[in-house]
Formats: sequence, C-alpha cells, structure tokens
Amino acid sequence: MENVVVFEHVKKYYPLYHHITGGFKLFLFNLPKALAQMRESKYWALKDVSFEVHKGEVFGIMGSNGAGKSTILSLIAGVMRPSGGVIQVNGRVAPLLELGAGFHPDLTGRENALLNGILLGLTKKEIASRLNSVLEFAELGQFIDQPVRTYSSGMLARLGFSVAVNTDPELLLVDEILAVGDENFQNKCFAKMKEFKNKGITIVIVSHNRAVMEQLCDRIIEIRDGAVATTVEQGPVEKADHQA
Amino acid sequence: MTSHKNQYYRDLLTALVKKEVKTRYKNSFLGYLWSILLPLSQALVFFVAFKFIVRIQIENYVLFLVAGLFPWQWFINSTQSSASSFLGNANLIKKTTFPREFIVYANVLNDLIHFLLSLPVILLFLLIYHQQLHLTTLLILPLLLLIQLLMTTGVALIVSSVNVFFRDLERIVMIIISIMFYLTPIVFAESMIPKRLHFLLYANPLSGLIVSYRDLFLQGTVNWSYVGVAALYSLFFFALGRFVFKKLQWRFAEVL
Repeated sequence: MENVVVFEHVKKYYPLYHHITGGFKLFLFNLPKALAQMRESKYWALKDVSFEVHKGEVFGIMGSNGAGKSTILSLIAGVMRPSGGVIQVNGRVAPLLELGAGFHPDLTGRENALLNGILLGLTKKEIASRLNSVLEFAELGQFIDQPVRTYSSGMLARLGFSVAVNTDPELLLVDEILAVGDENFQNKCFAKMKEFKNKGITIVIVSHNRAVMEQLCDRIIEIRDGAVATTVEQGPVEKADHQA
Repeated sequence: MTSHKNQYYRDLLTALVKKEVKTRYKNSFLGYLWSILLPLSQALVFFVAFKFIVRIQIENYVLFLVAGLFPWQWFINSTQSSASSFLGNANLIKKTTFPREFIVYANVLNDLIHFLLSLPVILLFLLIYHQQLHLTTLLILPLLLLIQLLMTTGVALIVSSVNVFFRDLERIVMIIISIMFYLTPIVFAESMIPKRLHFLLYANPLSGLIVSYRDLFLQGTVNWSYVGVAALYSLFFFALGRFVFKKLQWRFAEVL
C-alpha cells in the first residue's frame, strides 16, 4: 500500500524559552551557569513516534491536551523540523487554518479567498479559476463582497474550509476545526471528506473528541506521553452516512 | 516547473503587496495622504525650530528637509512595522509553508510605493523654490531606490526574525531610530559636521544614502563615494538579513 506520510522514530523537543526569571542582575552574576541551564532545558513533545498514513484513508490522531498532536501536524505540514527520526511526506499538503487565520478582517470574503488560495500554494490563475466553486461551497451569498470582520465564526469556518478543499490537496490536515459551523455545514464537510476519500485524497484529523473521530476515521492512533499508545482500526467511514 | 515556481512567487508577492496597500489606510478618511502628512508636519516643525530659532544657514530649507525626511520615513516605517511581520502572522506561519520572507518583502515594497507617491511633494517644493528638476536626478534615482530597497529589506528581515525570540528588540529599535535621526544629516548639512568627526558619515549606514538623495534632488549631482558606501552597506545588510532569517525561520513555528 502506498504511504502518504511516514514517521520513523520521530523525536521532537522544544527548547524551553523561559524568560530570565530571577531578574537581570542575578542572571548576569551567574552567567555561565544560567546559559548552560538555558541550553539544557528541553521539553520532549514527541519521544518516539512511528506510524504511516496510507493513501486515501482518513487517519485520526487523538490525545489529551499537550500530548503532541499538533506537533505531529506541524511536522507533517513541514513548518517544523524533527529533532530526530525520519519524516516522509508525499504530495501536496493543504492545512485547514483555524477560524479565518490568514484572513484580513478588512478585506472582503472574495479578496481573502484569493489571498488565502495563494498563501496555500496556488498561483493566481489557479485560484481564480476555482473561485466559483470556492464561493459556491462556502454559501455566503451576498456576504462574499463584505469585509470578513462582519462574518460569524461559522461563516469564517465555511470560507476557510472551502478554500482549503478547493486547492486540490493530496493530503488534507484538519486540526479540531469542525467543531464550529452549524450542523448542516458539518454534514457538508463530512460529505466532502467522503468525496475526498473516494477520490483517493488522504485526510489526517487531530482531535480529542472521540465521538467525532470514531465517526470519521478509518484508523486512529492515540498519543500519550509523546509516543503512540494505541492504534485502533475502524470500519470504513460509512457511519457518517446516516448523519448526512 | 521552475517557471511555475517563479510565477507563484510573483503572484504571492503581488497578492501580499496588494493586501498591504489596500488595508493600511482602509478605514481612514485621508488614506494614503497620511504617509505624506507625517513627514510634512515634521518638516514644518524643523523649519520653525531650526530656521527661525536656531537660524541654520541653509537655503531652501523646507526643500532640503523633505528631500531627506521622505526617504528616512520609508526606512523607519518598514523597520518599525517589520517587528510584527512574523509575530502578527503567527497562525499562518504555524500552519502553512509559503516562503515567510515574502511578508517582509511585501511590507517594504508597500512603503516603497508610498515613498514613490510622495515624490510629487518633493517636486512641488522644487517648484516653490524655483529650482529645476535635473535629468541626472531621473537617471540616478532608480539606483538609490534599489540601494535603499536592499538595505531596508535586510534590516527589516533582521528585526522581524529576531523579534520573534527577543521581543524587547522592538523597543530597542525605537530608541536606536530616534538616536539615528540626529546622527544622520537630515536636519543639518553634512558640511556642518566638524572635520575630525567626518568618519561618522561613513560609519552611519544611512548618511551616504540620505546625502545622495539630497544631492540628487537639490543639485542634480552624484557623489559616488557616498553612493558607493551606501551600496556596500545595503549589500551587507541584505546578506545579513537573509542569513539571520534563514538561520531562525525553522524555529518560528516553535515559539509563535
């Protein structure tokens, strides 16, 4: 089976950027010690994580807050580098941004959709040719030419999701996003994900909401203490059907 | 494939600059005029303070002032606003992989556009003081613009990248800028600097540039040693800026 994402013994630590707590004077007087301490203090977000995501599956990553879920997503997206281990990602990745992140409040929905499409890696021509399907899916009506600061959070989520799914990703990264938006829109997103799946597009979802995950995912891994604790094989995603 | 990439970079830069231009003065009545009114009001204050009170011996003093203040304004606007270039786009930087340095480039280009839009004001003062516009000015101006573009971009890259980790930098930059203003021949002429302090003209990266702008607008002359020094500084800062950015960019997503 073809793998879209492969993690092999991936480790990731964050240096702890603590501020000079004891005051500047104390810091200066103990300079060598203080510097050594700064260099050594690390937080191991991921200690040893290995998994692979197959082409066309909906892959869930669960874990409590601070377990390292979002770190994994950042590593897949390629905005961070691992401290150890090997990561392979094949194909075009589209992240789902949090509620209108990257939107400028004073620009209209249309202008923001164009800008966001470009930020996600499309040329102007590519996003312009898809703009109609973006706007259609987002269902914003005449609001599309209003500044997005007038939008509700559900509308922002719709527009954001709509841009992301229309960039023709091979791998869609979803981070706790579908919590917003009304039921109708959530169902639409679920349906879209199913459509993606059928087209062979891979989806990685991060959440701590077990119910939603079990409904959507083919496989779920649970991250605990910076390592993969359990892997759950699920049935196919059909369960989402009766909801839609 | 590379042509697609180049097309993408062009589109990205255009889109970001457009966004900056559209949003900077979007909710203000006077709009882009603000980028002219600020240096103009400064020129007025300096005119009163130095011409009437200090009685500085410089002809066409307002023209003299605006020829230095407008490029200075471009430089400090870009430097100050770059402090939040990455901090203010934390969400994008944590999720997407578009080349982040383009945020800074767009920022500096936006200020370049505002500077270009303010050039008619300098022309207006040339008219008021019955000075003529020299052909040399038009020929050499693009070179000065390029030098300032590189220098400003370099400094902006350093400030924006380092500020992600060390947020005090923003305040420090403000102090440095206000000191630099009086160390740069903007309100006074370089000829007023005592001979033994003349090396300061070369020690300050902005002096050569500002003096060159003024020579060009007021006399239509070029002093190549000033232009040369400014060009060297601009290459140095641009290279340093790229280096600092490249070193730090992989840790942006960790701290933002």
